[in-house]
Amino acid sequence: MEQLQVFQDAGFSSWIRESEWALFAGLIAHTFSMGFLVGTATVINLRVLGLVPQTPLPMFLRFRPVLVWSIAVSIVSGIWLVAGYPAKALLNPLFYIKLAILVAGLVLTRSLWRRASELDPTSAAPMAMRRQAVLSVMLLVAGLTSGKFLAYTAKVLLL
Amino acid sequence: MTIDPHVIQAFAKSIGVYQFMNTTWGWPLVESLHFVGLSMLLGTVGVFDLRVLGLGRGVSMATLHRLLPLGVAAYALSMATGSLFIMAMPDQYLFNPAFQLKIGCMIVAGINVIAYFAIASRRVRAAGPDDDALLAAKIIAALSLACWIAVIIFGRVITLFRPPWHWCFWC
Repeated sequence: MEQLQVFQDAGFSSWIRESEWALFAGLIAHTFSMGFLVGTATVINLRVLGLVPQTPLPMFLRFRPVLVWSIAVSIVSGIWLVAGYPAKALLNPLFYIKLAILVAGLVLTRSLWRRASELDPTSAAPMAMRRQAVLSVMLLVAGLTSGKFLAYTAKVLLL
Repeated sequence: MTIDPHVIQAFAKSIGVYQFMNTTWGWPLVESLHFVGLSMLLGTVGVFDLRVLGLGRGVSMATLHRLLPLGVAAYALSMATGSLFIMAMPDQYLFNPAFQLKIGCMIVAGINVIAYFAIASRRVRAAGPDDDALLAAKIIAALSLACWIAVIIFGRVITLFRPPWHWCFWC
């Protein structure tokens, strides 16, 4: 708790809170990157489930760079936001649940796409992969939702 | 023309929207759904725009066209949930410059969609998986992406311009 207080009172953390634009810049970057991350991953997972079957699944994986960039921006902007209000996030159990759900969703998505890239381009995904795709979509949407609930469940704003 | 926030709020109260949005989890639940809609919009329209701009060659643009119904559903979800915010707290939105700019960008995005179907849609759909899109389609796709990015930005800064520190274009 003491370390959290020291970090919160440090120059960088105070600057994010007091600056006219720093917090909003972080919020905008996080919203945009999380939107692209969950949106793109969900669409590719829906392709595994049989949406737009005319395009071979491996072709869809060419949008992977969008996802990689989205993850990178989400992490940086997420750290930025936590740096601004460390106690608000780190003392809220939902924050850790959100992280766990998103990591699980992304790990599942990654393993799904790895298997998808080895599939015969013309064949439909097997049932096990489809189940994995449904679970991935559910986890990603749950991660997104829990992020939105963070602001409403935080009990401590500043120490 | 002026819009009276009290009339909107009275309507919201008469149909239970105001009461629901003021429950403990009403607002965050609707906010989450609003963001899910926005994410799906980025995942469908955004992915299509990126393909038209040259990313993901090998994926046929005609195929990505088939994602558009999902994009329309996402748009409808965002509109429906967004209207619940406005009905519950009309004065916080209607007179808010960030909200006005957000709506302005959505209108431009809508006109852009009409321009796409009028000018470029047929040729984009006829293009092969590795083909480059025509310049007009690229301009439309770039404008579409810019509009949705702006919608997110202005949506995020709505809280920065909350009344009473507000001004509006028609007040």
